Amino acid sequence: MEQLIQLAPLLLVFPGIGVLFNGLVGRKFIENNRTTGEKWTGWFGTAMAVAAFFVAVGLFIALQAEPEEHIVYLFDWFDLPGVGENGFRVPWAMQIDTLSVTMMLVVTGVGSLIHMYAVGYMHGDEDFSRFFAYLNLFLFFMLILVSGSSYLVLFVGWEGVGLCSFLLIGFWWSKREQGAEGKPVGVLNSNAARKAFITNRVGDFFMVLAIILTFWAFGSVEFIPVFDHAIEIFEHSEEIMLFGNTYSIGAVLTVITLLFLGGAAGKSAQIPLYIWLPDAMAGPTPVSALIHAATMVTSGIYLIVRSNVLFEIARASGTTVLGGLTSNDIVALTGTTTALIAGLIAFTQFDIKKVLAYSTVSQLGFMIAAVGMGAYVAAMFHLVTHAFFKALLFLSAGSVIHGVEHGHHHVHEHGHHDQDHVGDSHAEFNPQDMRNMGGLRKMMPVTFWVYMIGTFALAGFFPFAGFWSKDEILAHANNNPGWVYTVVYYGLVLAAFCTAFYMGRQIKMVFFGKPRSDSAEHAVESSPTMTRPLVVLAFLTIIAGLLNLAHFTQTSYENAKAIENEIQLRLEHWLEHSVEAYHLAEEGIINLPKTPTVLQLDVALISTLLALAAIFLAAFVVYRNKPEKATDPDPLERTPIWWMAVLPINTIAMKGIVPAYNWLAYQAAYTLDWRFWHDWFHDRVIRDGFVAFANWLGRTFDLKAIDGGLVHGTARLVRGTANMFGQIQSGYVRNYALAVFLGVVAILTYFIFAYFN
Amino acid sequence: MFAAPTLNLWVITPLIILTVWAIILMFIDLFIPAGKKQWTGWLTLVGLIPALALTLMQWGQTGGAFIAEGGQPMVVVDNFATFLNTLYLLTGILAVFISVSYIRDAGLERGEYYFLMLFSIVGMMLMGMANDLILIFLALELLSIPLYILSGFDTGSDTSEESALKYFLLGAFSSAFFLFGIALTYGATGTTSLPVILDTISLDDPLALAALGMLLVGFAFKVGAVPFHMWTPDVYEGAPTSVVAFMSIGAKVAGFAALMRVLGQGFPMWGELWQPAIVVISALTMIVGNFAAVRQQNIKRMLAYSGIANAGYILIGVAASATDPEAISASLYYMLAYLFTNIGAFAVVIAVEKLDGQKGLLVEDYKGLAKRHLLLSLALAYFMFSLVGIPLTGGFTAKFYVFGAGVTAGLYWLVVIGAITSVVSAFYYLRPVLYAFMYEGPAVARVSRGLMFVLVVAVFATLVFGIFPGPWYELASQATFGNVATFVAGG
Amino acid sequence: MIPLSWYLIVSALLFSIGLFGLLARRNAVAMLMAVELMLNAVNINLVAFWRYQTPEAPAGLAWAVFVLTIAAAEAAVGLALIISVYRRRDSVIAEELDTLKF
Repeated sequence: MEQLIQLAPLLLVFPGIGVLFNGLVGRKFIENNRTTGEKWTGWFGTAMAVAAFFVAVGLFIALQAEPEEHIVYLFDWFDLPGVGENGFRVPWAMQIDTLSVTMMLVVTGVGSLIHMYAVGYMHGDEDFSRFFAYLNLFLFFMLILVSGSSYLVLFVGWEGVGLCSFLLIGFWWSKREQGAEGKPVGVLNSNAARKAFITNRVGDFFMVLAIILTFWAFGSVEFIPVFDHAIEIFEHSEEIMLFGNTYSIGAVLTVITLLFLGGAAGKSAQIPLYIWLPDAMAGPTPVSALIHAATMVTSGIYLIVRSNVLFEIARASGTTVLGGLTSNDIVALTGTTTALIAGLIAFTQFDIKKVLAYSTVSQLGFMIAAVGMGAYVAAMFHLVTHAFFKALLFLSAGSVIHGVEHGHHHVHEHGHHDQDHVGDSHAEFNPQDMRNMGGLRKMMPVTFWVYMIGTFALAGFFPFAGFWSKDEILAHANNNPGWVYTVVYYGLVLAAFCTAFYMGRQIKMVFFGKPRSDSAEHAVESSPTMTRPLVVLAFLTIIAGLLNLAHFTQTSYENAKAIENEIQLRLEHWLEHSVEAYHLAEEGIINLPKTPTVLQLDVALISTLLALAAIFLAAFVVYRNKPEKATDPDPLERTPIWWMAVLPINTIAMKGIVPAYNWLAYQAAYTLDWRFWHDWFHDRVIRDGFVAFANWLGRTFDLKAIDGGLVHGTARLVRGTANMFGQIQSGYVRNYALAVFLGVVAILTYFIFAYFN
Repeated sequence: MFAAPTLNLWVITPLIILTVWAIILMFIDLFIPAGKKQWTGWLTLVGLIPALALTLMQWGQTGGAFIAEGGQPMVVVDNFATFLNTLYLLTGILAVFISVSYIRDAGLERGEYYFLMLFSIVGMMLMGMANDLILIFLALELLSIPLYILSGFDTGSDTSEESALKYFLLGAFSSAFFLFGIALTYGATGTTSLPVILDTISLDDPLALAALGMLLVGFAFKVGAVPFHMWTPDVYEGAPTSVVAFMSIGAKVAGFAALMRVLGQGFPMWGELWQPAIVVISALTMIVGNFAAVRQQNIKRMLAYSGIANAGYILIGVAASATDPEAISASLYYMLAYLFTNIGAFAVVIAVEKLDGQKGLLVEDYKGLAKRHLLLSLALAYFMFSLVGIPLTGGFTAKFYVFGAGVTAGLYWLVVIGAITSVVSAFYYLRPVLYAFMYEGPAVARVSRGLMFVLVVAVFATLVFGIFPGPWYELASQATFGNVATFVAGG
Repeated sequence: MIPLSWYLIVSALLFSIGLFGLLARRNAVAMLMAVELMLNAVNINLVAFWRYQTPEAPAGLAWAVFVLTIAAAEAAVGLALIISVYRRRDSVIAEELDTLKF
C-alpha cells in the first residue's frame, strides 16, 4: 500500500501535462481542423482530469489499510539555517491523509465531470484550447492547495487558484456585445475578474500575516510540527515568546485563527468579502460550477478544518475578544450571518446564475458556521454534498442558458427576418434572465428533472444528500448550550427556509408556466455530452447522503462504533484520522462541543417542514400564475415577506454594501490608479494646500518685503517651494536639486539632533 | 617621504582586463566599418567573459592591493566584492545581448557605446572593492560619467539629451555633497581609509556626524532613494532603453555596494545612529516609489518608480544590518533576484518598443499583445508577478528574505509598510499584463535572437530563484566583508 | 598663524555659494559653474585639513589633485552635453528642458 501512496505526485503531473499540451499545441490542433482538434484537446484535458481522479482513488484505497497520515517528500524548497530560532526549513511535500484525499476526490471527481461537460459547452468557442489549459491549470493548483503539507505550499496553491479564477472569470474579455451600463460585455467581464482578484488579495494579505505569525510562534509552517508544538505548549501551559514579549498561547492562537478567518472569508466569500462571487458569474458556466461553487470557494473551509487543532486550542484556552466571543464563535457567527443575508438577497435576483451564486455564498456560510461550532465532519460532509448538487445546478443552469440561446438563434434565423434592428434586439436579449424563460420543462425534460433533483437536495428534502448534511449542522447547533449556538441554530433554520423559497421561485420561473419569450418557446434540449454528466451528478446527489448517513438509534451508533475499524467508508470515522481535535478531546486535553450521535428527529422535522412550506409558498402562493409576461413585475413585491425581510436586507446590501464595495473597487482600480493621485490628491491636497500655505506666508511675512529686499533668492525659494510641491515631479532640474538639498538638510538635522542627545 | 606600496595585482586582475580591453577595443573599433558595429558589441564579450571567469575564481579569496607601508589597502577583494562583481558582469553581458539589436534598430550604432559600458562596469566593480573613501569617489565618478554620456546617446532625440543633462547636473550636485562628506571625514579622523576610520572616529565629533550624513546623501542619490530619487523617472524615460536596463541594475547595485561597505566597515559601531535614518529613507522610498508608480502611463517611467520602490525594499536589509550584520545577505540576495527580473522586464519593453519616434512605451500599447506574442506576454506576466512578489518567483523569495531580516532586527513597522506597499504595487505591475491579455489591440513586438537569449535566461533564473532559493541565499550569506587583518598581512 | 576654522568657514561659504547658484540660476552653464565651485570648496577643505592635521602624510594634497582631475572630466562631459542641447534648442536655460515630467 505504501507504494500506492508514493504515486501521489502523479496527481500533479497529469494536470500539468494537460496544461502544457493544451497551452502549447492545442491551438495548432484546432487551427488545423476544428472538429477533430476540439475532440483532441477537449478530451485530452478531460482524460488528464480523469487520470488524476484515478490517482486519488488509488490513494483512497491505500488509506483504507493505513489511514494515518503519510508525508510524500518531493524536494527541499527552503532550507535556511539562519532564519528564526531553529532555522527555516520547508520541504515541498504532500500530506496524504483522509482529509486531503476527500478533497482530492471531490476536486478531481467533480472536475472530471465538468471537463466532460465543458467539451460540449465550449464547442465552437474561439479559445477552446485556452479554456482547457486554464481548467487543467486550475486543477493543478487546487491539488497543490489540498495536498501541501505546509501552510506555505498551501499558499502557493491558494494564490494559484486565485490566478486561475482571475483568468477564467475574464475569459470572455473580448465579447463585443452591449452589456450593462452601456459597456461591452468583455469589459464588464474583465472588470469582474479584476474585482475578484483585488478582493482576494485582501484575504491573501491576512493569510500571509497568519503564516508569518505561525512561523514566529511555532518555529515551523508545516502542519504536523506546528500542531504538535501547539499542543505541547498548551498542555504544559507555557508561554510563547514573540517580538521580545511573552504571550499566552490562547492570545496568539486567537490572533492567528482570526487572520485565517480573514483569509477564508476572501476565498470562501464570507461577509464582508462575499461580493466578488456573484460578479464572478461572468465566467463560462463550467467555471462557475467547478471553481465558484464546488471546489475553490471551499478552500477556506478546508483551511479551517486543516487547522482544527489551532482553532480548538484557541477555544479551549478561553481567550475571548469583542466582549466574550472566542475566535470560533466569531467564525460561526460570520458564517450564519452570511448564510442568512445571502439567502435573502437571492430572492431578488433575476439572473439564473446569480441566484445560484448567492445560494453558494449562503451554503458556504453554513459550512463556515459548522467549522466555527467544531462540527468538522458535518462541514466536510456538507462540502462534499454541496459540491455535487451545486455543480449539478450550475451545469443544468448552463444547459438552460444554452437551450435558450439556441432558441434565440433559431428565432432570428427562421422567424424574424423581416424585423428591423435585429442586431439591437440581439444585443438586448439576455439568455440568463429568468424573466425571459418559463415553461422549459417541456422543451428540456432531462435538464428539468436533474434540476429538480438538485433543487430538492439544496432545499434539504428527504432523502436527498442536502437533507443529511444540512441536518447534521443544524443538529449540532441545536445540541449545544450557549447563546451563540442558539443564534446560529435559528439563523441557519431561517437561512434554510430562504433556500427553499428562492429555489421554489427559480424552478417556477424557469420551468413552469408559459414561455415568456420566443427564445424560450424555441429552446431545445442540450446535447448528450452535456446532459450525461448531469445525470451522473444527479445520481451522486441522490446517494451522497449515504456517505455519512445519520444513525437512527443510539444502538446502531454504538454498534457502528464498535466495528469502526472495519467500516472506513463512513465520513465520520474516515475523517477522524486526520481531524486531530477529536483525538485531543478523547484524551481529555480539550473539550469539543457535543456532536449529536443520532438523527435529531425534531430538528429534521422542523427544517423539512419549513422547507416544504417555503417551496409551497414560493411555487403555489406567491408565483401561482405569475408572471405571465417578461415585463411583469415580480409578484414577490406584494407579499409581507418582501417588506418584512427581503426589502430591508436587500436595501442594505444593494444600497449599502454593493455601492460601498463598488466604490472601493473603483477607487482601488481606477481612482487610486489615476484620478486619486493625479486629480484629487494633486489638485486638492497638494496644490490647494500649498497655495493656501503660500498665501499665509505672503500675508504673514509680507512677500513684497522679501521680494524687494536683499535676498531675492529667498523669495524665489519660497515660491519655488510652493511650486515644487504643487508639481513635485515638475521636470525642472532645479526643483529636483532642491529636493536633494532638502534631503541633505533633513539628514544633517537628524544627525545634529542625534549629536545633542 | 613615499614608500612604494605593495601592489598585489591579482586582486584587480578583472578590472585590468576590462580596462585594457576597453582601450584596445577603441582602436579595433576604428577598423570596423559603420553598419558592422555589432562586432564591437560581440567583441565586448571577449573582455567581459574572462573577467567574469576570473571573478568567479576569486570567490573565497581575500586580499588587498595598493597597501602603503604599515597602512591599509586601497582596494580589497573579499566575498562581498566578488559577489557584487559577478552581478555587474552578468548585467553587462546580458546588456550587451540586449543592446546589439536595439542600438542598431534605433540608429545609434556607434562603437563608443560598448567601451563606455565597459568603463562604467569597471567603476561599478571598484565601488564594492574600494576600501578608501577617496577611491569610492573615484569609482562613483568612473561609473557615472559614462552613464551620463550613454543617457544622452540618442543624439537625435530631445528627451535623451534632456535626460542626460538632468542626470549630469543632479549627479554632479550630489557628488559634491558626497565629496564634502569625505573631506569632513578626513578632517575628523585624518584618514579616509575605512578600517582606520573604524579605529579612530569618535561619536563626540560633530564633524564626523555631518560627514556621515553627507556620505549617505551620495549613496542615496545613486540608489534612487527618496528624496534623492527625482532624477530617476526622467532619466529612465528619456534615455535609450538598453542603457536604462543596464544602469537600472548596475548603478543601483553599485550604490548599495558602497553604502553597505561604508556603513558596515567604516561606521558599524554607529548602527544605532544611522539605523533610524535608513529606516525613514526606506519607508519613504517604498511609499513614494509605489504610489507614484500607480499613476504612470509610460512603462519606462513606471519601471523607474518600481526601481525606486525596490531600492526601498533593499534598504530594509541595510537598515536591519545595523543590529544584525547578517541581514546584508538578504539585501544581496534581493539584488541578485532583482537583476534577472528587471532585465527581463526591460527586455520585454524593448521588444514592444517601436523605434520610430518613441512609440510603444505606453501601458496602453500592450493591448492585445497576448494574441500575437503569447510567450512574450507570458514572460511579461511572469516578470511582473515576480516584481509584485507572488510565490514561485524570485521576487517572492527576495521579499521574503528582506522582510524576514527586518522582522529579526525588530523593524516591524518597516516590514508592515513594505507588505502594504507591495500590495499597492500589484495595481501598476498588473496593468500591462491585464492590457496584454484582456484587451484587444494592435500591439506587436520584435524579438531578436539576443533578446530571446536574455528573456530565456531571465525567466529561467527567476524561476530557479523562486523554487530553489536555498543555495543562492547560502552564497549571499557567505558574501561577507573580508577580515581587515588579512589585508594588512598582504593577502 | 591663521586658525584652521577660517579656512573651513571660507570653504563652507564657497560651498554655499555654489549651492545657491545651482538652486537659483536658470542657465545650465552657470549651474555647471556652481557645481565646480562646490567641488573647489571641498578642495580648500582637503588642503587645509592636510596642512593643519596630518602634514606628515601628503594624502590630502594628493586627493585635491584627484578631485581637480575628476572635476575637469566632469566639466568636459557637462559642456559637451550643454553644447549639444544648445545646438538643438538654441537655449541653455535648464527650465526649458521639461518635456520629461510627472
